[in-house]
Amino acid sequence: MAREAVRLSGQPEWQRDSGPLQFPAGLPGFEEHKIYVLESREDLRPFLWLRSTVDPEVALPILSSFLLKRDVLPNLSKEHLSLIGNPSMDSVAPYYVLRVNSETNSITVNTKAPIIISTLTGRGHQVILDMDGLKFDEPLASLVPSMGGD
Amino acid sequence: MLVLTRKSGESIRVSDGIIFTILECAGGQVKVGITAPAEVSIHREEVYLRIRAENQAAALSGSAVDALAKSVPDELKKLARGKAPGSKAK
Repeated sequence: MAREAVRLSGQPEWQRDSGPLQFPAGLPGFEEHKIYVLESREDLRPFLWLRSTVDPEVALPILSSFLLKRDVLPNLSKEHLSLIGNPSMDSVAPYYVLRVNSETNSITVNTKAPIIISTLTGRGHQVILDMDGLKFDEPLASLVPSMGGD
Repeated sequence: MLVLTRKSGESIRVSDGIIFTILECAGGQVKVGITAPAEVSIHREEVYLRIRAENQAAALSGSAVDALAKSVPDELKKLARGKAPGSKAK
């Protein structure tokens, strides 16, 4: 994907890591935001930001599930893939949404509701994985291969 | 709230292309099939509310990038450097 440097007010330089990504259903909590771009910052990689093109203040920190012990792809169904245009598994970019727990200053990962994006069409959707063991707020440290075992 | 009574196998149509079908009623539970366009997001209410709360909290977290920068685990940075974009973790 094309990488373009952008500068947002009062912030260090960000890299734009994707073209426009279409979320026809929006995201829960941000339904009116249908188009996003991926951005990154050198000191924050491998974290990425999924930033709304309508309101740049709406930006969710995300992380590729490929980097964690709990990958999304094996748990996707045909119904999930149909939401982003039925791409092959090789053309699905799966991400988890991250959140900073202000009380513990630690990062949690929403493994229950990952975001999947077709790398072919740029279409994305936040899906729900209906299986045991997934959490809305799993500690990141427990999912990094060299930190939490495995 | 509009209230309709339906039997198993019967449906309710909402606008164009959204259909609720009662599949089964047993043991105090109702199994509902839903047909809708892909741009219509469908969730169990309690699950939707939790995801919405998590997303909104995540967006607030995202604005505190400096705090997040200090939290990037070194192991994760190394892992990311060692992998081509799009490749899977072993």
